Amino acid sequence: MTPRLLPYFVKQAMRGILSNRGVHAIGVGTMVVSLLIFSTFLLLFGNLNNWIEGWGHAISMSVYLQDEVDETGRDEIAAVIQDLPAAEIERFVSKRQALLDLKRALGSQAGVLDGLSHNPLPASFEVIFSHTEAQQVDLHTIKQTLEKMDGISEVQFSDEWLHRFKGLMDIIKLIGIVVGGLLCLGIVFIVTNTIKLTIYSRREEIEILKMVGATDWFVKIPFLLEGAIQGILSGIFAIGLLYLGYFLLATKKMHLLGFAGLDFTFLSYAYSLSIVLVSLALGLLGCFIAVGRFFDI
Amino acid sequence: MEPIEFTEAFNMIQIYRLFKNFGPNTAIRDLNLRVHEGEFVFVTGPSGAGKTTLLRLVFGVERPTSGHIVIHGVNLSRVSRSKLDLLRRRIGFVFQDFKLLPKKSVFENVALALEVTGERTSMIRQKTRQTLKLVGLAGKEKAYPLQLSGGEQQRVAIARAIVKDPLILLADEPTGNLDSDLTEDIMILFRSIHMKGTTVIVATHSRELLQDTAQRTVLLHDGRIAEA
Repeated sequence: MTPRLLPYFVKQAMRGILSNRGVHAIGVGTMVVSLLIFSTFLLLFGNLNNWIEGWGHAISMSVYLQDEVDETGRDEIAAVIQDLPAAEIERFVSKRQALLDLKRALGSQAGVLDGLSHNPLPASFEVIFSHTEAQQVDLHTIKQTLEKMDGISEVQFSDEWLHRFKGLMDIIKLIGIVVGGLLCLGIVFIVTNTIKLTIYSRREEIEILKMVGATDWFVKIPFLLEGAIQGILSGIFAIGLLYLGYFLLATKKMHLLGFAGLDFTFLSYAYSLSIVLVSLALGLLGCFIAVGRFFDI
Repeated sequence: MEPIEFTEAFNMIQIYRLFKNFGPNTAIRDLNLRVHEGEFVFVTGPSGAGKTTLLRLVFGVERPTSGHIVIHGVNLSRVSRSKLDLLRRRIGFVFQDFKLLPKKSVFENVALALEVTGERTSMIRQKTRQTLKLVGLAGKEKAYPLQLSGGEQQRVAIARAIVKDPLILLADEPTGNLDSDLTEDIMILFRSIHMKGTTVIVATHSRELLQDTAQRTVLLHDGRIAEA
């Protein structure tokens, strides 16, 4: 197979697409819809993941002090906390302030606290840890270290909600893989049948080509190019439509839904390119299946 | 193109104990035949005698049930599919129903046989024009098959078969759809191709075609050679 045949193959592929434009249009349309569903899922999943990662970057910790800690001890503890990686003291909550906060939280039920002979609530430091993952901060170790210090009665933090969210994201990811896999199978099925119809409509030409000594590959390559072109076009159209939808709807809807503060970003170039390449690969795969079954002349 | 190894030059076609069954029906039975290089042979017989099947077997479109066909030293029973494709480039086949592509011009139909070999475009153009001139179709390059008469369509089919300078030209009832004047024209064309050294086998049931012919005639009957 010589390189000078390439223009011939491209010409034949284009001719094939144009002469069966109806079949190819339906094929491309269906592929675009499938890819659009998958890339929309990818877009939503990616952004949701980013938000959760962002929330996970700032975890708050309450460091409760023993009642007998004086001002010097409190300053020492504050200094230790400030030295912790990624930590920042948001505020100091005195015993009195803690009781006031509790009363405010209880609202009309605050009267139940009136009978207390003394304030049982401890003073505490509210500490914020930012970018814990980036700085590889182990909050459990910090908790244990702080609890061993004199003057600290207890340390509390909760990253359980984060774990739950991440668990949910894992399930969504799994659903995405299953749905994506099914859509890929659907795409291969569509391309296979589109190319089969094209081959069928040109069976007379194929028969004659074989009669004059064309090799199987000589006949197959234009069909493979048709599948590749169908795949690339579908990928580009799907990404284009997704971007259009993102541009027209996403930012406005975010404001309407009250998520204006959240950054809703489009798929990265790498992801967009991957979708086009996957579409190309699926187009080629569908073609390989279609032409593989046909040639027995 | 990968060269085909030729081991024998004298016998262009050798057929040994050839059988071909289609389900329970036997189309060719115990057929032995040799055709020399540069020979012109008519294969004749009544309908269903096995003429078309024999030509299709020689062309490699059908595989024998048993027996061997050796084309210019290449045993078709042992040749790979890719080599068979290359061998077909050395054999021209003319069909009774022409088998032309209606959406391609006369020029494109003939050039097709060279395009599959990967020849240069300039060479394809030159050779196609020369061949169309040889078969008397100069000036008809841009016409489409359905705009031509039956005789002209058959000339296009012959041009496609000979444009690659085949070693063998096989023709299956090439004049079956033509009147007697056109039949004569086509036979003159076949003889001129034969004069250039091409081995020609024409399958026909036309007695008219065989009258006054000096060429060897192989008579088939019920899949066997009745007279050679």
